[in-house]
Amino acid sequence: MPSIKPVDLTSLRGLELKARLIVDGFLAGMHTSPLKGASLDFAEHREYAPGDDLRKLDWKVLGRKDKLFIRQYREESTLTANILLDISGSMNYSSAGLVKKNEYAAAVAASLVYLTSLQQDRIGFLAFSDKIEEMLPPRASYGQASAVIKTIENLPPSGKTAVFRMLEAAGKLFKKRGLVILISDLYDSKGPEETMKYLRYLASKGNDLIIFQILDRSELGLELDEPFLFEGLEDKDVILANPELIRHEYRRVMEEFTGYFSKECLKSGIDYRLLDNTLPFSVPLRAFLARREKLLK
Amino acid sequence: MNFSFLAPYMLFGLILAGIPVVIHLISVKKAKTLKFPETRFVRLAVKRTQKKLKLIQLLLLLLRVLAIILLVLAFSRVILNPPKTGAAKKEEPAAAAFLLDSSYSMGCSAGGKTAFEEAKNSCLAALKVFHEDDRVAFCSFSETVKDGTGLELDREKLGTKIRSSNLTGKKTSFLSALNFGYTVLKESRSANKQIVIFTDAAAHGLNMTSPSEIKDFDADVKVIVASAGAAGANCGITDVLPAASLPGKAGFNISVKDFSGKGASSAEVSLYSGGERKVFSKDDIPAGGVLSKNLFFGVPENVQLVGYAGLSGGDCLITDDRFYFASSVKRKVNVLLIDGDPKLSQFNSETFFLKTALSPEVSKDPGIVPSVAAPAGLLTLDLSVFKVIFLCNVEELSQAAERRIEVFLQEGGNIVFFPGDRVNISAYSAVSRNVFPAAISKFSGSENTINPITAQQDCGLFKRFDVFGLMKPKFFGNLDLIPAAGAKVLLAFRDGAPFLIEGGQRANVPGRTLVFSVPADRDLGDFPLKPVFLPFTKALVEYLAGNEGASSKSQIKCGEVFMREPRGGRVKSASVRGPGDSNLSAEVSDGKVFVKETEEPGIYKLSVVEAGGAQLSESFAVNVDAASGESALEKFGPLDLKALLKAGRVELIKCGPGLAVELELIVRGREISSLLFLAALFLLALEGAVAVRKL
Repeated sequence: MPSIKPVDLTSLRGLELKARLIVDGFLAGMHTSPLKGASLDFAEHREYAPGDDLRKLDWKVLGRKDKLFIRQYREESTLTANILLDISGSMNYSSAGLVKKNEYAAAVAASLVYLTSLQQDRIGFLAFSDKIEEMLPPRASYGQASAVIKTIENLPPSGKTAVFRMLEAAGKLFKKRGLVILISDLYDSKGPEETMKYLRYLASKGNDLIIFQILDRSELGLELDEPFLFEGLEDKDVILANPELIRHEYRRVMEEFTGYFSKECLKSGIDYRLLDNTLPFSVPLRAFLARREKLLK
Repeated sequence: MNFSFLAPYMLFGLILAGIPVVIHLISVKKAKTLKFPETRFVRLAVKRTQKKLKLIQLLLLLLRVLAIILLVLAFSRVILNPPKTGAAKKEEPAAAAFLLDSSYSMGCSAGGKTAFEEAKNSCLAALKVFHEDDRVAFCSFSETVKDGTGLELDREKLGTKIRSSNLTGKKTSFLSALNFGYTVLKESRSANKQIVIFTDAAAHGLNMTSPSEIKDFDADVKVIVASAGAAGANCGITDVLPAASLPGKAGFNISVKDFSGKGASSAEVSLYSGGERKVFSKDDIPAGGVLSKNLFFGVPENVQLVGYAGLSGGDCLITDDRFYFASSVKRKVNVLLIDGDPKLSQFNSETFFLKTALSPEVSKDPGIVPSVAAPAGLLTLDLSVFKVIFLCNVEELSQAAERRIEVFLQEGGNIVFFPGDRVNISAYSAVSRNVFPAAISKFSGSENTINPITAQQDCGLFKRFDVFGLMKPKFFGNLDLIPAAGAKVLLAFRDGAPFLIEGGQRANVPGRTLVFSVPADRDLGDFPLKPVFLPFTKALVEYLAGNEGASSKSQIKCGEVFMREPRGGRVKSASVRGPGDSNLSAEVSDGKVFVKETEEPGIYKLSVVEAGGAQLSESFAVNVDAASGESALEKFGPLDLKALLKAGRVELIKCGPGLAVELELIVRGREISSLLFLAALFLLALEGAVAVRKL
């Protein structure tokens, strides 16, 4: 199954369907199945299939029946994953021909929810702007995943961004340590330092953090070709600028902004990924799985 | 160092320099609103680049505005003038030829001052533009160059020459003037040479100039045309001809033309003689058309009538509103009609129709007195009392008669032959060609008509009646004539056969001989019955009696040479009194008197004293050649002059207060338009580079 591109999502209806397609496409492209992990509880035998780890071969069965069987175990513990999705007004943007940031973010979030449910992990969800807009506590059931995806689907972007406030609240709300996935453009009204401060706070509470910063391509490169009166989506601030003249400096500013998170997250052991709305969904999914695997080891 | 402009009106283009600013303002006003996720970073980028941005925008604006200014200045033809200090004085002396147009169209006056006066004043002012060590030549010109000087340093002498220049009645020809200018400047080694023409820029004068005729052309010589005067409405008299006379009256046909295409209403055409207005008429002159008016007034006989036809209409050029004439009032002309075939009934007579036509019963013209005689009358009558003898169907000429005719011709008499059926062809072939200037080959019996197109236009005979009336008569036969050497066919039939032949003019024989190829009666056609016969025969007598010919014209154009050859004998002395009682010189050569100084229109009086002591006096009229196109007052433009002087540099400036400044710019300044163009292009290229790179 070919992997789904962000622009292809516009022709599909239903976020769950989109998530399934994304995840199934992603899994079909992988050489080894990522869904089964190591455990001490034996579950069943399965006939060997090419690509399976040879270390998991049951040598006894091989000696007895001269057939290749793989030993499968029931997982001992499940992971708690909390997805924090930014639905502030600034997410309601895309340059011509591209998927809106909030739609891209929703697709990423739904895909992660679906993938997590396949691994029978516990899924929690929190949507925010400058306040918590929606929250679903962590549970391990397919019904939870479906509920989360439906919730995501029905969240219109609005309000200002206050990531730090949500992170502070999340620190208090999340009693059990787990994986926290933040999907946002990180346009915090108090600046990146404040956001970073609360990210560190959340990490200090034993949580493992993955940050997906979602930005539109024109936000990164200011690829516009005529002077505009730029009006902020959140604060209605207005400024006249000729993109041709300020593009160079703007890019530098944006590099400083994203670079700050990249550098500081690295220092704090937080996984930070900058995603523009043209990147394939395999990028966040792969990052998630890598982090999960690392976490389970 | 200062600047001036050859095309200052182009400076209005500087308004265009505001365009980049306006575009900038409009573009700011027209910027669309774009909803953007976060303006904080845009603001930060603007803040950080603001200084650089402002600098770039200012630079771009400056480059654009400057490029436009440079382009406008280039189109305005900027002249860079060196400072009038020591440095300038050290530069190479200039050389200039001043050519002052004195053609009669320069008499045009739109308001008070004539174009000639304006040009003269400008010429004097222009003299001051040149430095002490610059050499200047001067001439006034019309058809020819007059009062030409070499390259002079003496400003006083040049000033006197300019001030003493007078308007002439001649036409413009730039050829003679340009030739004078180029030739005189050829002597100078200066690299800064110019011909300055002070003229009304008459297109007619330019049209008369062919580039191939310009000698010593030098492409390095600047030709500066200082245009004077302004063209307005103009009508003029183009010709005055003696009209058919009435008893005791002089008649003139006056042709008035509207040159400007505007016409005139109630224009007054008058005839003046002896200082008083004799007769006048008020008429409308059609726009761009010609008015032909006959006016008559009573005069005593045997006097030479001098005067002029005048036109009052208040147009801008008065010179062509007056046309002088010097015409003899018709004297009695005795005509002898020799009837070679007399009949009992006068209606069948050879001479009946001629006599009737020359002296009709109704309204007898006392000017022509015809007498009829038999051929023997040629030997017996005193021929000297006759001016014209018609020989109608005379069988032959005896030697005695031939001799008498020869003497008659020498004394100024005229012979006209109307040969008929009685003519002895072989006898006529023996007659001297001086008396009978044709050979009769045979009788032709074919039907024929006269072709009026063949009428010799320069012959005075055909100017006196409507030649197209000659198409009407039909002929059933004629004598085939072969013109003698020197003789010319004045009129021919449709098949080309001669109808009327005039013998060649001989020295010392003023008389004319004419031969018709048909008889004067109705034997071979209906010519005598046609209406044209009467004016034709009268015109024929007037033509012969008036003895009009090149040698005896009493009306010439300005600039033409008037010539007289007194019949009495050797000329002892001759003097001429011109218009305004000015004494002019007359040259005597080979027994002929020549008057060459005929520049002014008016009545000239020639007095000749013969060796024998006899004194002769004759007046002649000199007029402007209004029909030449000079009166049209049409002006040429710089491009017309550039087309003429393809390789040369031509400037067209205006006479008047600003002339000295403009002239100084051209003579002393350096046009830097091309440099400005290059600079503007460079700036535009730089602007492009800056705009693309945005630094």
